[in-house]
Amino acid sequence: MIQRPCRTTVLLYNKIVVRIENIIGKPVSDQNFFGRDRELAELQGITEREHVLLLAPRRVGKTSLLHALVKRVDRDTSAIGVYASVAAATTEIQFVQAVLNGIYTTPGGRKLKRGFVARALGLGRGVKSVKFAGSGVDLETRTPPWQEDADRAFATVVTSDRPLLILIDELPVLVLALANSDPSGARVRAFLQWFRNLRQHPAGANKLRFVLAGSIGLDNVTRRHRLTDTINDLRLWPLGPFEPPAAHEFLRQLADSYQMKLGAELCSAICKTAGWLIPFHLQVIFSVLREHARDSSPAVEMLEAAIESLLDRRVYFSYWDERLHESLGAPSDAIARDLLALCARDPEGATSSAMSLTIAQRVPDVLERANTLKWIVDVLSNDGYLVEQDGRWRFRSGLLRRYWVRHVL
Amino acid sequence: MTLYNPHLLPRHDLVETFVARQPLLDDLVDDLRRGGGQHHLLVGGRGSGKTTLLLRLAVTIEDDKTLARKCIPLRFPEEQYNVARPSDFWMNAIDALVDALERQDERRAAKRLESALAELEHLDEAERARRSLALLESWARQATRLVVLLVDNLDLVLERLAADLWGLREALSIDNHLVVIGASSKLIDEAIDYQSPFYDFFHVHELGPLSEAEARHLVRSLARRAKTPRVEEVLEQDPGRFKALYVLTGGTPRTLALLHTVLALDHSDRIERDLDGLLDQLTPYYKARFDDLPAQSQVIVDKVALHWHPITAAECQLATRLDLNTVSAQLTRLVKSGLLAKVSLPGSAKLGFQISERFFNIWYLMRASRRLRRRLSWFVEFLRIFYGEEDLRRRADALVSAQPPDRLDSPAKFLAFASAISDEALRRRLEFRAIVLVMEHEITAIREVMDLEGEDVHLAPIIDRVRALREIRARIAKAKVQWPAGQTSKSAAEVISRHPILSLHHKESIVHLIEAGKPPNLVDGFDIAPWYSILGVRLVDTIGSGELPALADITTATEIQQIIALAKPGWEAIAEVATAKELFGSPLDGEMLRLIRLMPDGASGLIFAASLVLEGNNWTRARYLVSLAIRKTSTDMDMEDVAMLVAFLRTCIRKGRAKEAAELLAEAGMTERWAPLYEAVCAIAEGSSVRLDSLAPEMRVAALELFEQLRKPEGSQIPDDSIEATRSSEPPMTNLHAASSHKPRKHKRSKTLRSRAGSNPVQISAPRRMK
Repeated sequence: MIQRPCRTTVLLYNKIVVRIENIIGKPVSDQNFFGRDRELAELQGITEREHVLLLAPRRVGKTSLLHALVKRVDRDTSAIGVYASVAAATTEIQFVQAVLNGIYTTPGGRKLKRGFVARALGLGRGVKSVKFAGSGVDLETRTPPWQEDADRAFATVVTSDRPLLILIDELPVLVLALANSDPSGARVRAFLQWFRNLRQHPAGANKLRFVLAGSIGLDNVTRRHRLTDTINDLRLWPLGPFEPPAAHEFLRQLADSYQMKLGAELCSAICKTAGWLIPFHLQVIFSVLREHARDSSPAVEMLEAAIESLLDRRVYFSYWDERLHESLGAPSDAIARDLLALCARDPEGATSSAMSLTIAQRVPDVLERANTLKWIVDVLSNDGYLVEQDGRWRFRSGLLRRYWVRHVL
Repeated sequence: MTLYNPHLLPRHDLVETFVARQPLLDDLVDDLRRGGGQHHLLVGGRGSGKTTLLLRLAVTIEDDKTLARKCIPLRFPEEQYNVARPSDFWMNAIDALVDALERQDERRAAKRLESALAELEHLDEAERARRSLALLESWARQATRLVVLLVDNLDLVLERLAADLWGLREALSIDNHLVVIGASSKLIDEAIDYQSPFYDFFHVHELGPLSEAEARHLVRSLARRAKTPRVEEVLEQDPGRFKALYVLTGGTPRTLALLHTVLALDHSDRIERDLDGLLDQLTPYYKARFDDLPAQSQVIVDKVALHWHPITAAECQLATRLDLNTVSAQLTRLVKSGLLAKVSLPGSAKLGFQISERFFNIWYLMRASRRLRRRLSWFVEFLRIFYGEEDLRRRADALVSAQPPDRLDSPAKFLAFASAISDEALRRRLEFRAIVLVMEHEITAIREVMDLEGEDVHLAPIIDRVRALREIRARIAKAKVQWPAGQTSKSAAEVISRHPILSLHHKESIVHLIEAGKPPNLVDGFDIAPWYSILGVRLVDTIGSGELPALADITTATEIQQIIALAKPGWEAIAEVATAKELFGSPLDGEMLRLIRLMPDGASGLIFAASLVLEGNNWTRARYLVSLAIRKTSTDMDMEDVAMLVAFLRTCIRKGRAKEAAELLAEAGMTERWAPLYEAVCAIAEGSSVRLDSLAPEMRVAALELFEQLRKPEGSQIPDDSIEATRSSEPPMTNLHAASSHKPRKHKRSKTLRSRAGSNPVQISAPRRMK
């Protein structure tokens, strides 16, 4: 009898006293997911009306946000939240399998699974071929194409009494794989067109909403392969860094979880070092500060020593320097270096016009310069060097910027 | 202690010997206690302690009751060579889980898993991977335990699963009670590449070198365990020695563990052998590190290691003859891997590269050097770092002074010490001993073992000279000659070959004469014995051995300095150098003359040489030597210099050059300060003392006396007071004071010198040096 109140007290204590674990790299959920209330509300609101393309560089917290959105819609029963990562998919069928599996594993989606269709799509079994309606035809080689089976499966899905919010993660990886498998572009176009049709289908108008997210920008991939018409129905929605107050609160809660005290000054110093206030950057700095502090109270001076030890990881940082030549080749890598040098000098980064002026000597022709600048900035953005914020291009990582200033310039 | 295979270490020993990396272990354990949501990657070079840390973590989990209830550690083989597909990895994990359960006596659970695993064998890859992962997740869920995958060489696994990394990432991204704590010898590209699935996925811990305090703690612990109290004593009493060990090992735990007993080595001569043995133990480890490198990196590392001291990229490029971009890229990569370190070069803005773990460099030198000089340089560098410069010098001194030499001392050892010693004279002696040993052992392929076009280029003339002298002795010994009484071919060979004045060319000419049956009389002029007292025993013996050239063979200012440094102090040696060159060799050039002039007693020596040159009727040259000697020094000539000058003037007068002598004194500014002398010489030139009558009385007396003395025949000494009187008596009190306080040195001239000064020094016709 006594144990029960004690256990309840403990649970209550845990609920009140939030403990955030400092988890870097892996998507987080529940108490480890901090903040983003405004973003969740906004995204949920949009998805009631539109399909969304979630844009953000890596490590911003897209996947964690998607998981949180699933939980949110499940909690308020406004929709059946479905998360599906298609990163491992390399074919259209695998994509469909992943999405449908995601649906069928939810309590609400389980009953949407129709036997023969599921079997046709090879769901839940390790079989290569299925005798379909007595025809004896091997699925791998039969016609009609896979879209028909997928259409049939989704036709069942839209009969759900509740709308489904389907959050598809890492779609650009598949799109790139399809594009690479068929240089003509026909295959990837066919897939994206089918998917667009699925989104636009009248039957799914009120029942299916999609949020597509990925580490590599889908918009960049489709632009490169001239497929932008296949995603022009998606509302572009960027996910950015924390606002400073949220970043401070995040740090404070992290510190509390580890029985540390971070004063306002130290929090500000951490934020200043991080530059772009995404959880990942804050966590990395917090982690190294914690290692340095050990049993003592962290201080601003200690932060400097901690940052120095991070910057000493020359292997990690020098990689960013070296890959410029690998990914761009000469002379574009030199142009990229000029741009990065400009952006590094100011923590707030540089404007496009300043960047254009910087490379004027290397690329005197105005039109060529504009094209070159756009292309290289695209690459630098896609490869994680720069992000655009408030009309300026800045280093995505404050640590990388600091390294650049110290060791590359 | 098992250093290369920590898996073989008994549990108790693993716990007892784990002293480095404790803070990191604590962090990992703390993370697991808090739920284990974070995947970790330990990155460190070979010997940094990654595998040991993983094993120690496993033991910590198992030994902690609370943690053992929450987690189960899975130990994988160090290299999972069987992994080609995702299913292989997950099935390896289940195998490891079965082992872990059996260790914990959960045999039923282990058996169930084994059976389930067997059912998956016949499935296709996709299904097998899915089901094996599901099996693992299912077990973890049911057991409510976190499965901790301790994956060594994670880079190897990821490389093999390159086509399936997104799938692996997905599996590790969901909340399925799996956590990976991996280890890798280098930072995995997949963990850094922005486009890679595992970009910034792991919490990376770099296992760098231990700090000095950590290293000391480790060594102390090892010493206690190995019961080597001497090591503990050295730690307490000789912190410098530990610091040297720390520098040599680069703070690498494995190397520290292997080599900590070096601290117990004493200063005895056994150290070379003991150290040799220790370094042998490192061979598997270091060889593996070297063999791991790609071919081009090996080329670079070879040059850096052989260079020993920091080398710039440009120097490395010259040595390897690779493209500079390639060299730079390789150097950068090697720095990244930790094998090389970038260091500042003193007095330069450039950076140099060196092997970061100095013991690795020492090991490499030990194995890689063909050249004698390099063969034992590893040992010498160890001594320098470990014992310091003083001890190194002491050993070098003992080595070169040992008579007879230790039969185990090889030429390589002498050369190695020579390279390390900054004392030039000692270095020369060491190099010479090496040359002698090489020749004694008849190492005919001397060019194979010495880099006579590279770092040993300065030894080439010495080798040639020693060879030539040996040949001279051999030829004389073989010559069928009737020697005069009291002489033998052996004594003749010694006298001729060891003569400190005669050039090699001259000696060879003498050998020709001997072989032609016309041996010279070796008593008069060839006797070496007088030279010992003029030049000093050290110099005569050094020249006789061939270590330094004979005085007539001097060609460089360095040789002059070396000879004067060894010679007996005083003007005689300088005089002999100058004379030998003027009479038997090619005359000294301006630079060498100026060098001699600057030496103590240099002026006296030059003036003496000028006297002898004048005896040979070469007024122009004699004048030049004297004017060089007395120019600008007329105010600070000491009594010795003046005596020498007066002797020269006598020779001038005897040779009918009084007028020219007077002009010489005038040009040298000696007309006033040295007025009595000048006036006396002028009067002699005029043939009468009339001009002296017009001098002031105190000056007239001195001048008249000098007038008489200078005209006296050869052989008569000029009294000291006359020499004192050569200087003007102004102010008279100063001069008297100077005269009363000065104690002139006895300018003793040996019989040889006097005879040389008065006679034709060329006893035999010496063929002119061939141009």
